[in-house]
Amino acid sequence: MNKFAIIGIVLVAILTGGFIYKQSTDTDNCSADNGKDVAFTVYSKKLEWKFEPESISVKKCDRVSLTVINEDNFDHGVAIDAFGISQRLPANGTINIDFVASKEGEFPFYCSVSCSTSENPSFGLKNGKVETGTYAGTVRGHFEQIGKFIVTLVNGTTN
Amino acid sequence: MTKLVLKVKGMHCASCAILIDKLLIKQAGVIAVSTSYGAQKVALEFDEAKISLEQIDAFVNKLGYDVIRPDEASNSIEEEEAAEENELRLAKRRVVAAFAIASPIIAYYMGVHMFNLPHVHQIWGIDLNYIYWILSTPIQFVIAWPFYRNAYSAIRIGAANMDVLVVLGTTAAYLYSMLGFLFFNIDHPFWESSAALISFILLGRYVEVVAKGRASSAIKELLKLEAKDAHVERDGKEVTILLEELIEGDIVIVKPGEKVPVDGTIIEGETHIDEKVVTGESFPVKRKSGDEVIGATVNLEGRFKFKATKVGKDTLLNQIVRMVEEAQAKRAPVQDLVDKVSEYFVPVVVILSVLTFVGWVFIADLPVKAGMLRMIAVLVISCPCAMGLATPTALVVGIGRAAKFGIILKGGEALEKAYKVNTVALDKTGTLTIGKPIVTDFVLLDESVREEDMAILAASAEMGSEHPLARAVIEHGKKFGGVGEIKKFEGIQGMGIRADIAYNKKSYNVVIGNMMYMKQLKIDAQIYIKKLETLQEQAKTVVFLLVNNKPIALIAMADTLKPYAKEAIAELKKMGKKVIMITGDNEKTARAIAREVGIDDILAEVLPQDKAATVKKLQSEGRNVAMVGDGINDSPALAQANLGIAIGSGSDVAIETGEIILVKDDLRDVAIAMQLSRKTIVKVWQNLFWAFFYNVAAIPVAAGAHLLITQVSFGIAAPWIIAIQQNYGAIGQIFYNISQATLRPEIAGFAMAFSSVSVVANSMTLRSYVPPAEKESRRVEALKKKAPTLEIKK
Repeated sequence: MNKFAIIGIVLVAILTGGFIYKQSTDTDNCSADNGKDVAFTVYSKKLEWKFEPESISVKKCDRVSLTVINEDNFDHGVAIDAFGISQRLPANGTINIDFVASKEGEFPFYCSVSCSTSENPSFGLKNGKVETGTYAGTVRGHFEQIGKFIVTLVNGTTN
Repeated sequence: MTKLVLKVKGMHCASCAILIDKLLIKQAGVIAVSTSYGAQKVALEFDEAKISLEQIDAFVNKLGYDVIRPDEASNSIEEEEAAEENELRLAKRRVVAAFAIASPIIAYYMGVHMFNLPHVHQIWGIDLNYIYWILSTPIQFVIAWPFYRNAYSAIRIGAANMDVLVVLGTTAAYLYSMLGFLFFNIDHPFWESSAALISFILLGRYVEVVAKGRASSAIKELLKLEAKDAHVERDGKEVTILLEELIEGDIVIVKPGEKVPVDGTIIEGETHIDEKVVTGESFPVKRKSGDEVIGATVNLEGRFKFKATKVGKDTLLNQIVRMVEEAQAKRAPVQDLVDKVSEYFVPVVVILSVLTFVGWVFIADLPVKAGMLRMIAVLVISCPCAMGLATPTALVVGIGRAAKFGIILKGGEALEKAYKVNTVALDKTGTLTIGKPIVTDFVLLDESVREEDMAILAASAEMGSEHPLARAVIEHGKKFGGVGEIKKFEGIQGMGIRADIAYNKKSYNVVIGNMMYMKQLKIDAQIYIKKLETLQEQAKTVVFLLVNNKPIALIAMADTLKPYAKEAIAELKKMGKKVIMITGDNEKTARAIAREVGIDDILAEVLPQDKAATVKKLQSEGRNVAMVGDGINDSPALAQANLGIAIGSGSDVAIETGEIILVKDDLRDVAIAMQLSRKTIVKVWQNLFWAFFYNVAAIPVAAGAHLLITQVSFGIAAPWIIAIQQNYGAIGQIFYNISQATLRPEIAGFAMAFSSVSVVANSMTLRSYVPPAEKESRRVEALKKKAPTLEIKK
């Protein structure tokens, strides 16, 4: 038999197998009636390398709508690995992210593009120190811009 | 049936060679095909009644390559070089263009990712992604066009080569970036993946072209040695003609300092010739009337005439070139393994990449985009190019290096066999010894005479004889200059000769003969018996010289060792090889020679037809035997042995049969050939290890499989990673960052290009091999230079 035909069959089998696996193990049970619509507005604070709020709590299966606003003159990103979210947050831009919180747990919610640090003198710092804000005097940057996205179980329901 | 070795153009990856082999052999009339990517050549055997060379050429053209047929071949080295230079220039231009266009993208992403600079995706209100889109499009579809072309031809004929992988990986990256940017607001477009990856692969291939050019430079250097023209005698006049016009039988005149144009036999004059270029022999050799001369060697002093016996493609130089070419085009058995792996590699990788996608999307329940990212990384990382380069580059360099020392290895198989040999069997006569007797001792029995006069008398008398031993006495006498005239000559069968010689205006009666003859002549020889027996014990043939019926001298003759035979045996022993001498001679003679040369094991009185059986017996004892021989009678043994090594001065049959040919008559080359083989094979395995290790290790990382152990949940590092991060300072932080990241496609591309380059560079180090003898002489030279300064210090 043609080599490509064999490969093709194997690939289709893998994809089908994966799909069936997902269907059979899909325990999220997040249908339209066991979640509610929740909306949050998150700011990436100007020259602070910090999301505000830093912690977001939702119930499992909630349909989350995040509005993220970038106050900086450079790009950030928003990523939550557990939900496969990784979006560009353009300089001084606003983006909307909609998803269903289908997994339970506490997940990092972080900036996904390298966005430098406050040590970099190109950011309007004076004498190497941040002029204003909560974090004046401390060095903050890409690795500090992490928040928490907490998904808890809805009371009384078990999955 | 036709056998040809032809140049192939357009091969850019080891997969191409496999492709040509696999498809050409399926053609009716093609009997054998062996394509070498390293040498850029194909060794073809086909039935011309069934398929013409033009048809083969057309077929190969369809695959995207070009076979250079002999009728279209540009034999001139200049044209060959110009073509190669052109290829090099085109490859270079492609690389330069790719890097010129890709550099803003590469610089931006390197700055952002390696130095953590902020993402600034806008300049003067224009989103930089548009600029990257515009820049990467020509790289992807114009500069990388050959990848598409080759991938297409490979797929069309049912094969999947490395180009398929490049096309899959980069196209996926390009489309992902474009669609993601335009429609999905992705945070990481892969502009740099397609641009940088293509640039680096092109760079890798450029380095390969350079390397291949260097690897075949040994041959080119050989061909450059040929003279351009020749002076010949035509109608009694000396005319200068082009080398191509020279025909067999021409009388060629060579002046001092000129190159000998072709092979032939001297008919007039004598000279010293530097034969280094062909034989590797470093000392000039004396050549006189009747001696053979080799084309491309340099005439150092005298003017001489010779008759051309071999011209054009038949000259020794051209034969050597052809043998090296064939050797480089032949495949080593280890390559079969590599080919098998490469052939299955592409489909396995495609399946693995889809498995990766399924794992992330269906099992880890992530969106399609996250799965795509890792799938692309797997496709990019797994290019089997380094693996395909591992064997050919090492073999080509190893064989080329050996040729430089005058050692012709007939293919990679010879290398591999030489590496395995543990026993070296040597033929005695002609291999260990010169093969013709010379006078070793001239023992005067009468102190009142001058030795030179007696030697001249003996030589003069022997001139009438056709006995093989006579030659030795004549050569010996010649050393003293002067010769007598034979007045009367008589040969007595099985005993000796008797002659009357006029020398220095006097007449002498000279008798040369054995003990039996002495008895018949009633000469009392018993008083000399002790001297005689001492010489005989050394395996020498001894005769009496009587002048005017008076015993004057004992002449002892023996076959002598070749220069460096002792050193060669010592070197082989040092390498841990068992050395055995096989000879048809009697035990006593064999012992004497063996003792002198340092061989412990001998097999004497072996009839020529039994030599092969003797080798077979050694093999049945579990030995891996290399047979070194020169004569027609050695050929069956050469063929029977695991490795046949033929001495270049030997018969054509032996050279045909041998797998290794030693062009110069130096036994040390046996050791050099084995050392070089070992080094080459070790290099092959090193290269294979690195290439395999690289692919095997990198694929799971590209797939993100390492996250299974470095993370406990999505984006949450495992406790052991956190422990390292907290306890090992900056290094801990770096480890943490690496462990949490997936191998991004552009890093994968860089690593892949790097691995190809490192494999080629590793092979190139073979060029630095220096044989032990040369090392020693260099050391002595260095000491000599140092010595005076040491004395001054004192």
